[in-house]
Amino acid sequence: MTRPNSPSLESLTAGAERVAEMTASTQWFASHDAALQLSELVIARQLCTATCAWQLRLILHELLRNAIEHGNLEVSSHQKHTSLDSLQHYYHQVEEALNSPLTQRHITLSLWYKNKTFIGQIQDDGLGFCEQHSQGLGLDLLKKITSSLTYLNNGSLAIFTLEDKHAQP
Amino acid sequence: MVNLSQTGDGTFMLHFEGDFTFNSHNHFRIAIKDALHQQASSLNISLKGVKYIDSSALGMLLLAMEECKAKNCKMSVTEASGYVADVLNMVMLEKLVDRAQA
Repeated sequence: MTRPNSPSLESLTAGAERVAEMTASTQWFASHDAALQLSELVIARQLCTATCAWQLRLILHELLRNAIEHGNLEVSSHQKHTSLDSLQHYYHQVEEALNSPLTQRHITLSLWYKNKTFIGQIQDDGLGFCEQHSQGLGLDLLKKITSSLTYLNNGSLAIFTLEDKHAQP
Repeated sequence: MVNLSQTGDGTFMLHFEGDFTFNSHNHFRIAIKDALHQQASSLNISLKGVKYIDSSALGMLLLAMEECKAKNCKMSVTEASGYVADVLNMVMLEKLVDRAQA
């Protein structure tokens, strides 16, 4: 899943301002809306337009859900795509996993800002996933909203960039 | 918040308000089942009050569409605006067309 031509995180973040850096347990991320909090932070600091903040919220939300549920808690997304009734089974699987030792696994979220572009990294302690076999809409959505999206470490590390295309020059 | 109402003979309207994410799955599932149980021939899902939507919600709309189609109920999604409409346009339209043709 490593893309040899993808720029390294070091080159992306060279000279960038670090906006946020947080490491916490899966349980913490599952019970706090970090995506919403960070989107409100960048608006409060007037770093970007409202459109970009909304996109940032959605990207962080999707990546954190993946890190929590499919990464650290190892719950397959299959039940989310079967039927409306199977959504209940999926919900119970996640709840069960949140009461297991897996909930102590960590997630690290880092966010930088440079030249009207956010650079983000989300890392979990899970086994990763196969990008080619992902059947959810989340990955489709992420690919369309982000300026770039790279998965490393078998998918347990996601690096994205988001350009604020509506910012004044 | 999800609110189901009957607007005509066999015609139902499902109003959604707030954030539409996986957390809404149970209310959404019950409302769809309720409409189909009442033998809805048409179900309009209004997203007028929705300010935020994620990929789980998009997946739920696709699942609802399949279940409606299996019961000969025509489902439509209307009144999305702003960012919610952008997300629907980005991902859903092609998926809905794919499934409608399936």
